[in-house]
Amino acid sequence: MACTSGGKLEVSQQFPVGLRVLVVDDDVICLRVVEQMLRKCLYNVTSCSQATVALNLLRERKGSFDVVLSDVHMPDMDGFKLLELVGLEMGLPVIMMSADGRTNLVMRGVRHGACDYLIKPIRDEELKNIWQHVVRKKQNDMKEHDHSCSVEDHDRRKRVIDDTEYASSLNEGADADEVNKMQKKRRDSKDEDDETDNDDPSTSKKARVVWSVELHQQFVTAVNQLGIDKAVPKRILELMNVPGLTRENVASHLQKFRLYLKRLSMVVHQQVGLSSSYCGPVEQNLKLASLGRIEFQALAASGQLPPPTLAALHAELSRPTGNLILPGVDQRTLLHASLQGSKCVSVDRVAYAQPLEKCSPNISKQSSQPLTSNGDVHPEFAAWSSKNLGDLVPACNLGTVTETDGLLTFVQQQQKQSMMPETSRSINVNPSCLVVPSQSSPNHQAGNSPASVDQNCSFRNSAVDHNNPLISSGIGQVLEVECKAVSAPRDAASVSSTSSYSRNIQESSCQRVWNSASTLNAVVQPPTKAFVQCSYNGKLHLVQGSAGNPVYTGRGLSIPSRFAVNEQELQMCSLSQVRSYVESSSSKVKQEPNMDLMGSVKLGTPVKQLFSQNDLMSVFSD
Amino acid sequence: MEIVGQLQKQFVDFSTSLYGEGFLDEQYLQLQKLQDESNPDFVCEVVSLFFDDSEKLLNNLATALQQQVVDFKQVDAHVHQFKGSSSSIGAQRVKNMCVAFRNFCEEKNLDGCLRCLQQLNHEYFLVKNKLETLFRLERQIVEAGGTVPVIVA
Repeated sequence: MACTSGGKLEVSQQFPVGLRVLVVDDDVICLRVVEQMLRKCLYNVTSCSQATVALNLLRERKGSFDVVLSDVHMPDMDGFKLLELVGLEMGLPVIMMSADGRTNLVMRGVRHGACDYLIKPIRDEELKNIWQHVVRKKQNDMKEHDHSCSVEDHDRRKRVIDDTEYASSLNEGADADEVNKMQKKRRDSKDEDDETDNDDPSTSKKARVVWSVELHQQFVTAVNQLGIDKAVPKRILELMNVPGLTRENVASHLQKFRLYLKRLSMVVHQQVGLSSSYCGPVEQNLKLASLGRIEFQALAASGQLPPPTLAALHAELSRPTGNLILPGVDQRTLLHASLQGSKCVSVDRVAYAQPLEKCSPNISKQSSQPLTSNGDVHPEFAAWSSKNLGDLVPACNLGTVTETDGLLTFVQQQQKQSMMPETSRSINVNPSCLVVPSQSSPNHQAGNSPASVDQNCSFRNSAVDHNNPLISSGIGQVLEVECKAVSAPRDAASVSSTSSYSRNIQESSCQRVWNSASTLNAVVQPPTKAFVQCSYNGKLHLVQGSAGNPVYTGRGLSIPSRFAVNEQELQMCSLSQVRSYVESSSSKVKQEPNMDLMGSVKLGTPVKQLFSQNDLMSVFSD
Repeated sequence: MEIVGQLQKQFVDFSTSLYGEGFLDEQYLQLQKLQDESNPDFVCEVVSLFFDDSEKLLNNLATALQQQVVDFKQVDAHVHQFKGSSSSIGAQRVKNMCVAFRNFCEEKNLDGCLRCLQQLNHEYFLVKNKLETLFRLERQIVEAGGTVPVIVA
């Protein structure tokens, strides 16, 4: 099957072998059976018996999975919710499974964006073909991006798809010579492109622009001056008047910015309902209008912005030409107020994982209960919304723009996207992380001993906790905290101390909104432990590395080294981006943990799954 | 070896009857196919998981149906779970019973549910018995030095 041709393109030849699948099902029997079937297909399987654990895994290790299989009925989270979250945050294809094959359920699956809906008992033939969803999704994403994306990006991505096609054709036993010829041609054309890139000083590959807060601020100002619809890179560049900045830099950044706005608007639509996407916000605008300035400030300050407000804000964001009626609310004041709010709030905020829906009737009930969050608005909302106000305000012409937070949000997001395995879910409260059977021993080791994902998660939470108050004070600090947390992960105490936080993951559709909020607030975090596990039914389930050792699936050590080797380059890019960004924020971030892990990965067999998110995201990196 | 031969025949006959009487369906065959050198006890492992899970579910069902005010949604959730797990291993009669059970849940028919629970219990212990016999036969064959015949649909 494998047709080696000089080493570089080995990866594509094996596809879909090694496809990285995450299976989520609370039914352990089914989980085990499906897992085994997937193994038989030679896929790289991770199983999870809890949706929240799975979600954490996905977030922490972005780009580590190609496709998600999830059950519909799960106790801790509705499968459809998970489906939406995954689609929204990670853009991964999700396949639903259920013993219940009634049409209305299948319809729901489709509506929520499922790529497929399998009815239990699942047959292995059905699983053999799930890779098609991965390819299809990538293709569709590409088409979407085609409009606003630069030619290089498109080509690069096309290459990814083409390589896959090669793989399939290779698998079918194409003639070896032909294959070699084709591969050579491909490699040549790749080289050509690379050469061109290198020669042309204005390509994004050469000039790595760091979109600092100030730069982004200038960018957004320019965009708003022009109007989001009319903002073309050339004009933005002119307005920004930044020496050394190229049109290409601006173009790719603009593209990302548009995607960011789009994502927000998607969230809004879901929040408000597609049918009422225009009526809803209008109504809410009125409600908003009725809020006095003081009230608004106070609410923001206390971290308790009412959901209708947020929804309205989102809606506005999606309609750049709209006008948000914020009578007398000074943007700066608002931001300041919310920042104050976020600073004051202590670690208690962690517990606020309250869905938006529940909040709306309960504004009056909002109080800072540390753990249970009945009717509490997630403070992140406040901070986030104010950040969005930051973006929003220019469009609404409300006085001076203090867009710091909006910038932070956006820039952070970019960093996060283009980089390593993701991070802070700001306040990702995962009860299941700790609820997960605690057979996990509190030893984490970079790669050899089992430790449970929940420890991972809870530790992650502990790192995350500190993020929020610090976000306003700069990413550097946050990173510092995280790095500290990273370097002291084995502390069982720290793990247990987070257990008190993990109470509520509410299952309503607001989780989506919140999560996207927290996504936007996500900060760069160094990759974590070098292992992966999910536990279910008291068993620790290890992802099998190539040597059968539990290894860090995320960065590919566990994947047979047959896969392409661009990962190293990728990681290098990502790492330096982190560094440059961090430095520009003048932080004192300890990079060691980061480096170590990266280092170890580099030393190991750097591998890259063909369709790693990182690959696509790296395409965006400036 | 005569013993092995006898055991093997017993095994085959017994298996065939299980399929014939609907205790097991082709999903169980799938399980057999999934077993290999790297997972030599796969079937046994999964079936044990099934036993544990089922007994828990049956207890939960009993409890739920004994409440003053029966939460049929909860009962339905349990039955749904049971349906999923039984279908995953191929315990056909158990699965079918679950389907009937769910209908009663939808109708909020307490009597119907209670009867179903009884029958479900019955079916479950029946299939449990059968599977344990099957495993015992397999063990005996192996111990006698033979190989377990592979049943193909």
